[in-house]
Amino acid sequence: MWSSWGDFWDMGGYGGYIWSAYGAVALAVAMELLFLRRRLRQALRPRRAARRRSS
Amino acid sequence: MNSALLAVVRRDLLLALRQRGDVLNVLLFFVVVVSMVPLGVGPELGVLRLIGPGTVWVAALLASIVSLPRLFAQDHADGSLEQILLSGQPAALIVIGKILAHWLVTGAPITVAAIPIALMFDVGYAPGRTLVLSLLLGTPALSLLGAIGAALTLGLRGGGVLVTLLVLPLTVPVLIFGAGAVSATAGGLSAGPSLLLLGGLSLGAAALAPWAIALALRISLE
Amino acid sequence: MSETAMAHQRFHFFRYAAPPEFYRLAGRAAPWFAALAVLLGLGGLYLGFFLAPVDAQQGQVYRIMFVHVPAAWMAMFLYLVMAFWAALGLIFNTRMSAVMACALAPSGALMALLALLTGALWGRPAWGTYWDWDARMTSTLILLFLYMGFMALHSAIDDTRRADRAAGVLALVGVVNVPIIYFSVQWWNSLHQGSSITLGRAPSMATPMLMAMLVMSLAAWMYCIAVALTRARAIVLERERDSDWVRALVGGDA
Repeated sequence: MWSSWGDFWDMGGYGGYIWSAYGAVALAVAMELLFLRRRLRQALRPRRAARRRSS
Repeated sequence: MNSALLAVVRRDLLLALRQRGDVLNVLLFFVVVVSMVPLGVGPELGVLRLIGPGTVWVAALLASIVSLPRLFAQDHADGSLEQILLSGQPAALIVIGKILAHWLVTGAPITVAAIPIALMFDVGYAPGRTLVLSLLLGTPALSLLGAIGAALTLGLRGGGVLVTLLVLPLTVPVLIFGAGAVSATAGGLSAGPSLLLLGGLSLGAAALAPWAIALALRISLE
Repeated sequence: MSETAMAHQRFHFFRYAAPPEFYRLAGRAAPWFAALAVLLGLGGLYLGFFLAPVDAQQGQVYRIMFVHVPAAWMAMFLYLVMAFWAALGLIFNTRMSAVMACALAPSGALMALLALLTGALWGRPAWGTYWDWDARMTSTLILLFLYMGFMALHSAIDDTRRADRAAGVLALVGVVNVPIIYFSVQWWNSLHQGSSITLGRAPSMATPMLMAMLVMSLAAWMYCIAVALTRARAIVLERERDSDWVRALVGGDA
């Protein structure tokens, strides 16, 4: 369907828009996953101080 | 049941009367905000005629939100809100009474104030009439929706900004049909459908919101 | 529940309303949804970029649709699901229901934001402006505000129980409003456009296009489920951090 990779990236001249859009999605997903992983890790970390005290 | 409603309305109106300054401030807020817009976009009447209805409506939205503290927060601060709710009367009824009183000192004056403001924006006679009518039909919905926000944020530190954030998106249909009605008249079309929808929104809100508000109050006061 | 009662019921839904049970179940389920999301996503992208033809009107740029439409649908759908869990939480007083609602909100907001972003990037080449206040985009913007309002209200209240319930009420009020908002924005847009009909936003769809869009929508759905379940696990850990089962899980000095 695409005569070359160059054509694919160029997307009939619209490459900038298309790949910005997909890039934004990829970035958003990556960040969401990163933040989520960090949040889970934080929650699983043992708290050293404040065993009986409420924080 | 009727007498309880009247009692609540009368109490709140009396309080408002004693705090005339606060009530007037809301009205002033409305007028000041509206007056800012021509200063921002220029005095050309053609433009003002176009944006007038929407501007008035947005200012009405903001003014009705700014006035919300007097609805619940004041009574909550001195403990009287809980007392009133414990009085044995249905919470929804008390809520309706308070909102009615609130509308009488905010929505109603705004509706009247819209008349000279319509002149300021050179809206024209028929559109101006529609504007006032739209405000009359729509401001009750604004009070009701605002009350939901006020009840949910009772006692919170976020204060006015949070309520505004919560309530404004909900008021979009009222804004659209309210300003749309005036645009219709200005464009020579009938404002009937928009006004009917507007009235429907207020009626629907009057039927449903009190329950949500009563629940929200219970949640906030526990 | 008594031994006999438990013996008689092999599956009791409310069992998963207990935090440790939910934590375990969600932990086992999330990777499956994630895997599905990846597979469907790859499949959808292949369909969309290598099988779907060029559009007669819009050329190649319509391909943004394969992320824009799923994002918009998910934004809408997640709000309904969020409101559902909020309702359950209010009616049955189950903590986990409220946790699910809280877990869904950020995902929904992100989907709405992506829908707006990709929509703008699609709009510029296709219709000339990044933003033209059309009904769907404007409604999505308001939906974003509703999501942010939910999250703002929840974080403004220190008491978790009050926060859950208040935000829950807000979500329910919102969900009742959403159809009204959509309708009014639709009307508003048509009013100010005069009598002209909007040029069809989506190109008339050839089958590969439609297939790609559906597959990508499914992928988005699976992704959101995986993320929501994981976020819910994190929330559960945070809320229950002083309980025995979390202490045991975390180990160490806690």
